[in-house]
Amino acid sequence: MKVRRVLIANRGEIAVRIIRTCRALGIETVVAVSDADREGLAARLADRTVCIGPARAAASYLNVGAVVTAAVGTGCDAVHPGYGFLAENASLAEACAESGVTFIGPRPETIRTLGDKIQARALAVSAGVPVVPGADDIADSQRAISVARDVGLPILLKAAAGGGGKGMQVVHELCRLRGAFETATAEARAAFGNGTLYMERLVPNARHIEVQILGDRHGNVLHLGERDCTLQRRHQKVVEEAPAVLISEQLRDRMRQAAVGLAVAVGYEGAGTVEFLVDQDRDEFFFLEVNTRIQVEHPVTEVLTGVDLVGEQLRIAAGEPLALDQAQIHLRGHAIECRINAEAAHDNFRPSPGLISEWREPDHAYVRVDTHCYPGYGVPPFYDSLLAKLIVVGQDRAEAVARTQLALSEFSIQGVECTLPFLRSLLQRPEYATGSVNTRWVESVTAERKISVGHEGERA
Amino acid sequence: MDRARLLVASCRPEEEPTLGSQVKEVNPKIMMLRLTRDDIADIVQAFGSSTFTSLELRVGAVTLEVRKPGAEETRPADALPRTVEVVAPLLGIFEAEPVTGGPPFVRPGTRVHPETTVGILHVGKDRTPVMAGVCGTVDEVLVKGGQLVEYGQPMLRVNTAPPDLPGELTDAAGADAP
Repeated sequence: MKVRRVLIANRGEIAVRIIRTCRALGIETVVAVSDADREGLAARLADRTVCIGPARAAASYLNVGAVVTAAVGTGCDAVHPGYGFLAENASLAEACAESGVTFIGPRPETIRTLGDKIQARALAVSAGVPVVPGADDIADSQRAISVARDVGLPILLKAAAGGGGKGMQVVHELCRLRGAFETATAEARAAFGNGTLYMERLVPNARHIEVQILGDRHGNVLHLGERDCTLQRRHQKVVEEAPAVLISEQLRDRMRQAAVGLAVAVGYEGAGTVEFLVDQDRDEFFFLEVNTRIQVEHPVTEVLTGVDLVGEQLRIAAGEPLALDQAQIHLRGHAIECRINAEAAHDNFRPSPGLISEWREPDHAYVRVDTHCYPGYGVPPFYDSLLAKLIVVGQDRAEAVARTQLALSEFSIQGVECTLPFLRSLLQRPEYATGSVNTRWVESVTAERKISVGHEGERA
Repeated sequence: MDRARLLVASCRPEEEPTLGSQVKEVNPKIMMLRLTRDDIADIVQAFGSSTFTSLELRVGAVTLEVRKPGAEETRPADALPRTVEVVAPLLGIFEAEPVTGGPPFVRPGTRVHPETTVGILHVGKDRTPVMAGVCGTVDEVLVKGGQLVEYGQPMLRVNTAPPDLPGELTDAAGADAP
């Protein structure tokens, strides 16, 4: 089956990114926009724009019926969901199949299995992939106490059914476990209609490392190396890089093989990411989850491997075999991605939508900027605050860091507050230069005000 | 700015009836909306140094209307549009006739009132009737059955001139829709 016309059910930089690859492959694009995005860059670049609903995402970008009707009504043979919104919604994949439209992503049952934390964890265990010590059947506080004794404190309690920090509790002392259980189970029941919890050991000195995988309909699976996403703030990634920093070659190789093993076990079709937690104190890694979509930070992998991941997604969706085998995948150099958000870092990262009066990107052969912004663009207040991704490559990490610092200093955005000053300051910290950080590092330095988070205009 | 000053002088926020002391106790947020004479003077000054020619501001019971000398009235009573477009409240496939068959819901010349169904938008298993939302006579149906209609897309033009004023009707018929 050939893909000739793709409906892009997303917005912002990723919609622009998908259009670019489609154009290169001679595939027509229809971009589904909300009322707030009619004048956006994606709408200007696409062959056609179709307005699927009002600005409110629930009635537009999250509306499965509108997306599928728009795809059929505009003669598209495939839907690309991007990331976020409906990207990991099995109902969209099913509704596409029912309407004879190809969903660019894994099969609905794969999305459903991997989207359920307990099922995904069980699958990892059966595929021989280590999981964080814990249990997934915490139905009462007695069970919670006995499991906590086995895995050791501190522990983390999470809702089995959901995410976003709802029903999440950290417990350092056994005497506080009962209260934490009651709070978490009540929150989980209120948010997801299911009070079942799972408990796992909390890893205080952790790195977040994820492996990019590709699988096709013919049973071929390969990995494209890993990305280190240890720099996070409130579970949102801030800076990503590849290859992973300060881990042993043996651990790196085991993680890559584990990711491939998991993908083979589930018969994975499409691009995906297997996320791991690395315990730096014990030199161990644990399975976290699989993201069944293209990820925000995919360019880090693209600039090192030369593989167009969106292009591979389209190939796989069309039923073609992967163009490469594992021996042909090489990661050359070191890459860093910074996420530039319309947020005032000095004011607790308050969103700062508005009119962009100046937009000047760094211009070097080693710089890639993925964005939907331009001078005169009005950043709407309804959606994610991502303005741009700055991706910089160097021969080694030291060169990549130095080039990123230079590129950040040359990037100028005026009119809205953005996280450029915060990123400049973050990347100048000695801990970043040595790589000796963990997943709590960004929040700790932000809270201690060790880094400047001032206004763009305050920079000398 | 003489006229502006005169208007300010005629505004008496102290006397506004809705922001009394009992409201203060119930909801302090409402009190934040109270305008003082100084507030109004500031607003008028900001308006005066702006490039705008008129300003209308309503805060609670206070209405402030300011126009610079020479600025024209912008909302004459007779400027209401005579032809209005009925736009799609959601994306869907347009159905011009009832599922059970029969004539189209509307044609040019059909009299509609706000609750008249002018068509159906079909999305998946859902069929949503679209109401005219206005009183008038259908001038033109802009979409065809089976067509994809986008959110906000004009579906009909409706002439809202009252039918009991023949002169108005003649005018409307003689002029193309804007």
